[in-house]
Amino acid sequence: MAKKESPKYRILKLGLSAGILFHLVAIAYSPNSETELGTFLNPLFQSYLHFFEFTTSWSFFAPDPGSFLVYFEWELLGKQGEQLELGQFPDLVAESAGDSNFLLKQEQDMRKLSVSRFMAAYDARAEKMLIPYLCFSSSRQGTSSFHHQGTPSLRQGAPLLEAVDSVRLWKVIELIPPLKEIALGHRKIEDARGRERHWITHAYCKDLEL
Amino acid sequence: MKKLWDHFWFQVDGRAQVFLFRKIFCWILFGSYFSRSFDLELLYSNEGLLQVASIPAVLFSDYRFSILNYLSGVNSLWLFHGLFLTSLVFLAFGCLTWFMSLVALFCHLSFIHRNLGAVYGADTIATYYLFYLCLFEIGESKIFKKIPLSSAVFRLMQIQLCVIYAYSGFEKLRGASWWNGDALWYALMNSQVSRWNMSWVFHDSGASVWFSLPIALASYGVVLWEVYFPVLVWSKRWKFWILGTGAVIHAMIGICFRIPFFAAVMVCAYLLFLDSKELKHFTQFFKKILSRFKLA
Repeated sequence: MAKKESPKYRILKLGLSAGILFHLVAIAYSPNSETELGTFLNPLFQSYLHFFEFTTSWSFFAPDPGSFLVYFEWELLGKQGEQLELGQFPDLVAESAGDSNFLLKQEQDMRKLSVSRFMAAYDARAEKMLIPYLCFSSSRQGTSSFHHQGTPSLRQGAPLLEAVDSVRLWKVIELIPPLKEIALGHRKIEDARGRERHWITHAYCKDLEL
Repeated sequence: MKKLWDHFWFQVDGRAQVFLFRKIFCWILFGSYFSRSFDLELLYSNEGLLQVASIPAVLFSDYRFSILNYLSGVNSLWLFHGLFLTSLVFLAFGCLTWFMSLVALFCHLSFIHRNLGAVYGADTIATYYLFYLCLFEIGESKIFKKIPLSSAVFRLMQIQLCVIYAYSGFEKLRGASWWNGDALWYALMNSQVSRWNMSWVFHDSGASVWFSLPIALASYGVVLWEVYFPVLVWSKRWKFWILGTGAVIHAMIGICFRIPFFAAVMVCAYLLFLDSKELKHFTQFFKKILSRFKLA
């Protein structure tokens, strides 16, 4: 015969059931919270979802894996407007050369790619994140040179770059040709990808509050 | 109904599954977060890509707490990183588990809230499962042992995986490239995500024609499998097929794309769907493989 539950145990189980229901509703609706239902539920769940960061949409390679590559190009200019350095972020190909199969390196690349996609969503984000970084690492780190076509390393700034006066920034999108066009022979894989370069800003380092 | 609810949530013993999951999951996370050491200052210091002062301007930061917003020095960042890695090692070895799971969750949330841009799939999954591990370990502690908390958390861990696949599958159904069957083409040809440059395979149109069909079939297969996973994984008849297919798909993802740790975390969560007998077979099989390679 089943053991009879004490009233205290029943109350605890009831509380636990309420907690389970609350969490279930939260994880079930949060990936799709930009809806009418979300507008209704957000005031109740928002603090919980944001505090524990249960806000992901679980859209892995979805709705589309992305028919393009996205990255940023930057140009450091001196006081006379002369070009000091050109570079891009993230520079995954160059950074991965020789050790692209190394597990940890791939993980590093993925995080840099995530940051670049995060910035690519809004130009203002890229401006707020990349410009201070480029100005800051150039003016305060001073040991060796920037990598050409690469991310300026925090440990490897350049004395030369104390001369950096401003930064110009672009977002670059490279389109991948559709498989059908390649299969039908309309295009070749080695043809130049469709490349679009979007202007973001020209910012002066001295105007930034560091 | 009450009986069913009680039976499902409060009368299941998932300790063996969760203990093994914890061990493997924490070593995977250790590897993933150890790799972050190389870019720690770039991603999380005030001299890196996101200054603390800029956080409110780049994302909605209400309720998102990070201790790293207050400990902005580089030394404290490294110390905190060390603490996080240590907590994962303790958890993997099963030492001071409830305390270390709290530390690990606190450190993890602090890192992701410090720079939400540096977060990708493996991190988001880690957020949920570290949270569950934390609750599970609390449920296993002496004070809460009388409440069936760990049983309920075990079920939540299983359901979480179903939620992930359901949303991922439904989101794919919204995408034209998954309907057209060329989604995997775009993923493989994206040199930022793909592990190898695959363009040589599609060098001439003949080869592209030959590969069009397998790519389309694989694209449709992935969507079908993801959409049906949340239902079929509960069926005894279908469980092994759906988990086995998932293991193969994630192995391919781990090999072909730059996300091996993500693939490993997902497959690791499959352990939560094995019963005690199956789990025993799994560990025996695993030990056999390790001993064959003289690793154990």
